[in-house]
Amino acid sequence: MSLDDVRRYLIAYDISDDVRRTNVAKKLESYGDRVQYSVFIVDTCPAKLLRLRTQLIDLIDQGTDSILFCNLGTLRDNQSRTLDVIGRSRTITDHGPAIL
Amino acid sequence: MPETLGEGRDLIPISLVAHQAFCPRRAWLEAMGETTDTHQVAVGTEAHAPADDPTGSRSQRYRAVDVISHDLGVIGRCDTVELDESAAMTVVEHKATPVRRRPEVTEPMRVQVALLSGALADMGYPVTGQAIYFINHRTRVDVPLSEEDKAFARETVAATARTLAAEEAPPPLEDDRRCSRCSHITVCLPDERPLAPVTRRIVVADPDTQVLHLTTPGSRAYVTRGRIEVSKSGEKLGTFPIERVQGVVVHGNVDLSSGLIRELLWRSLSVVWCTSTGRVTGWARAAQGPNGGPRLLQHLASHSGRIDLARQFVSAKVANQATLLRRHGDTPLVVARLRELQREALEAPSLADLFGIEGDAAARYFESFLTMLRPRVVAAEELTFSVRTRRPARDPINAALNLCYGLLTADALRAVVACGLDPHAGFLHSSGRNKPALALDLVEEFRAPVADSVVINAFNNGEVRARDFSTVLGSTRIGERARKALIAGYERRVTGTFRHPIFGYDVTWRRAMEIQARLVLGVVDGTQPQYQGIKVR
Repeated sequence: MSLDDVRRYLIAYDISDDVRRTNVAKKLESYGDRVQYSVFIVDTCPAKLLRLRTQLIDLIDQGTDSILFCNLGTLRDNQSRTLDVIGRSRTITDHGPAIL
Repeated sequence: MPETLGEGRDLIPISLVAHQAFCPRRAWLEAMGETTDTHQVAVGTEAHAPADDPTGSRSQRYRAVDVISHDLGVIGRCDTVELDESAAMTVVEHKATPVRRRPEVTEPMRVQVALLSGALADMGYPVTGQAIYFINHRTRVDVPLSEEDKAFARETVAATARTLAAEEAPPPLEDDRRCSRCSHITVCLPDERPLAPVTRRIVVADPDTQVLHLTTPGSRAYVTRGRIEVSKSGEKLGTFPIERVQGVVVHGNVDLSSGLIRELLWRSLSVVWCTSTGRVTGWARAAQGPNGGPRLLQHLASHSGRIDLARQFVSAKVANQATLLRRHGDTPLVVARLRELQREALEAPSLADLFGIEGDAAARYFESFLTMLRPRVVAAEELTFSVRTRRPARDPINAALNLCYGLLTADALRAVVACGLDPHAGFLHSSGRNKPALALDLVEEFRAPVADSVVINAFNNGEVRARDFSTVLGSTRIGERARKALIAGYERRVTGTFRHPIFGYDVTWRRAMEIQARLVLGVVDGTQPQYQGIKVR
């Protein structure tokens, strides 16, 4: 996996309806990691991001809900930057060997 | 000649005819069920979303209109059909094209709208025009059709039928600009087929996904909220997002829930089960896969024997053993002898001779194996190794090799399955032994550069120590810590890149395995004149 193709996104949402919010949260959990209640970190290539966006559009009510995508750059850029957390932090699935 | 095809012939999807107009091989690959996951395909799928949603229809505009024509011999779906006041229809096809490119109507698009409107007219509706809507440009371009266009469309349908009925796959294009726009370049390999350095650069993105290893004995894996979760005795050990999974390898006693297996197969991902010592016990592959026809040819080729392939597997294996020994070891005489054997393998008259050469090389190579470890490490850890023993492993090095060969077999299996071949019909290993012969064939050339090198580095760097192993009654078992360290080392190795000795570009070892599998596929379906194993320098 080339670090240049994969980009890191911070995705946050503002959704009032419980059902829609749960569905969006579930969808995001299958792509990346929850770092706060409504904030996710998703590492993904462009094709998959497009698919995620399309799926999210189907889940939300575009009149009332909003989902924010913040592009944090490629994984290579992110090697030199850190996500700094005060207090309790949650783990982000990294790109090393996946052994459970 | 459509009329000679008869009434009972299969209707051809219009999209396939458009692919034929672009490149016959592309049409073949699509028909064989090859799919790729590229940004381009994702953009195209999104562009066609309106065509899959009939609720977008209005009184003057129909969405997702299915069309069929027995006269043209095609079946398809119009994205949009517009009606004017007199109910005359215009077929509008949606296309996604990068904004930096001009919104140009290409030959395949022309063929596609010609067939769509022809089929609609054939169904008895008045069609007065065709158009392409370029989504990214928000531009609509009318496409007037001449009689020549219509005749050419018919001709292309016939050509598609010929492509599909052919015994052999159409050859890849040679140094053609179309390839740079084709999403199937990763499975077609037009530049790699000549087995020469690749001069132009067509960027192929590696998947952003990982192979997940489940190693904790007595744990249970299941899928919940879109994540694979592993727990043991009620305690959660960890979770992993399912969209990041490329395949699953199960080591030893780990339960997979039926829901998880179904979800993985639904996503066309494969699962390989190994024992905790690295012996592959089985695998699961999705029911849908590409290249059913070539698979049949593979069995025929396997039955009649392909000594040319077998020679390459053995020669590359011996060459790589020699290279590894030259890099890490201190036995130039053995290396020289292995080089001779490598050349002999290329001229071996029979499989029996090949096995003789392979056995001779393996014996010499493993005799010198210990010289590739640092003398300090060997002394401190009291390592011994004289002969390769599989079951039972007699010493830590053999046990570590067993595990890594198992991991390598799992990857080779995935590569073979990904291109639709049958792991059981091999060319060097006998299919009669009821083993995954083709996967084992492919493993040969990767043993030294991938698995052996992982084992050597793990011991040399102290990631694996002799005390991580336990020997009972002459058989050595790997402990939990060493297993995880070796799997981690292996994953780092196969996801790391190297300069490909034939093509000259940087690839990961995992992708290299799939390329080799696809070269075998090419030999089987007739588009690859010869196979060549990877020989690292």
